[in-house]
Amino acid sequence: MLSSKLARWCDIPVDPCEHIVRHLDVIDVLNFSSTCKSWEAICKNLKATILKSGKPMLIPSQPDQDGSRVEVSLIGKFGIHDVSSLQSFLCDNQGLNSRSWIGGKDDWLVVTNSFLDVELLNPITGCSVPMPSFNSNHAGLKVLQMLSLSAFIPPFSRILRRVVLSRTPSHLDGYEAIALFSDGLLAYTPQEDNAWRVLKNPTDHDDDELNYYPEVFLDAVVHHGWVLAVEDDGSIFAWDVRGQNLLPVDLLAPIFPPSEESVERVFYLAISPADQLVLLCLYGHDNWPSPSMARMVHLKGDSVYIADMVNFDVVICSMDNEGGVSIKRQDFPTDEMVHLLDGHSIQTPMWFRPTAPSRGHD
Amino acid sequence: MASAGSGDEKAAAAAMITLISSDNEKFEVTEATATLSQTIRHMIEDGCTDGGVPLPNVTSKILARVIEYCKKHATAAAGEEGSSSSFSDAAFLEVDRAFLEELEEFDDAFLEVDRATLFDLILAANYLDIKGLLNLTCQKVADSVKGKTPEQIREMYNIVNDLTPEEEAEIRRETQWAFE
Repeated sequence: MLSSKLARWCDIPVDPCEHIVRHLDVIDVLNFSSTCKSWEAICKNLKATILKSGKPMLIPSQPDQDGSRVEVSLIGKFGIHDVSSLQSFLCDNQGLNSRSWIGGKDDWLVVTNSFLDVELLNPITGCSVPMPSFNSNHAGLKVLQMLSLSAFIPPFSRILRRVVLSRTPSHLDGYEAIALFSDGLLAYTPQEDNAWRVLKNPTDHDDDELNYYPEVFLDAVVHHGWVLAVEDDGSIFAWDVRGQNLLPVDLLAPIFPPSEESVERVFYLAISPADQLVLLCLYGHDNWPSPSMARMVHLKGDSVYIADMVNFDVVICSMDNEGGVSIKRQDFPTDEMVHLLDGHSIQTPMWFRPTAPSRGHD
Repeated sequence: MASAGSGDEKAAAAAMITLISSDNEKFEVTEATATLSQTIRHMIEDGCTDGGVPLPNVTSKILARVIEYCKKHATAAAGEEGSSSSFSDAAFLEVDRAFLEELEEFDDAFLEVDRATLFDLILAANYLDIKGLLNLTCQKVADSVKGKTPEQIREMYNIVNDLTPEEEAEIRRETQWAFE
């Protein structure tokens, strides 16, 4: 039986296999278990956690994007919090070393480093796809590196806040993304262009540059060939990106209750299951998840998932058929090592949904 | 394997065990080395080691490697016992540290084997119930799997994808996204 030539790794006894699985993180288990029937069966028998496809999970960001203040043992590590099972896991991907994520869709994360290189990374397959640089595109954008001091002083503050990924590289037509900057700059790229197209550049504005404090786009979506973006005062603009004319159309936005000025609001855009454009308004005083802190919102079916980074919990709002809303609140388990959730240091958690464990292809 | 002629004859004579590989090669080892294997320890306790311990599941090639591991680690275990009585002595701690480093280097070098040998070592460690060796070899496999796709793992370990197209389709259905 013990012939080296016939080493059948599939037939490895359960005991050693258990030892192997114990050393793997949850993403590696996902790949390991979809290698062959017997390993899949062993992982099932061991009750090893296999991430469920399609369930929303939260990936808190690495505490420090430069990695300089991260414990050596945590470099390249990231946490995954599974909202459906209330479990958290520590995972390892050296591709995420010294990176932070500023967007994502399905199992792709948009990651960036302090030099503002942007790429798409799939932590399950380890696959990465570079995105066009902001500095070498035809629009002649001036984008400062994040480390630069002047990046914090308006009107020159131009920090990449988020990248909305409307199509992933797994899509037949390639990825499609919208970049939202801290000064209101909005740019769009489909994969075939290999360059960013500027939809709005606030420095083109006629206002006195020094006094100019623009509205900032909070969220954006792509819907039927249009890019739609919502500003922090609730105004919505739309650009027809199928054509060459990139002038925005001002859409009539609804008026939001309550009208008190002191109430903080944030807006999100989404596409509903019935293919309708949804505008989401989170508002409230600073007790219930402070809108500005509860930054990551994910819409799935009739549920809205909100990551509350102040109280370390997840809020799930579900709508029923009659329009009633039920609110469920979940606490994060508080094992710091598991989440890398270090107090205020989490900045941009991402909703992440693994697709089917890829059986040999991306 | 001949025992060292000089030195502590009495200890060696008192506790030598003969292991017999599947291809009938005989290996003589000290009891301290042999009892790193729980399987052999139980055999010694049951007093059924006279005339040698037959190991029909382990070839001489693999048994030689396993004994190499056990000898090194048996010395380490003996060293630990020795130092525990003089734990306050800084010099001893220094020696311990150097020894642990050496042991780590030994383990790393020990794992420099092809995948077929690694497989056989895992099976032998499992059969002989040698916890340290099983852990060491399984960690090696786990490390090699980290960050790899199923296809890469299959290639590395020569695994045939035995899922039928129907089963793959079934899995795809199970894991498909709910329409959003």
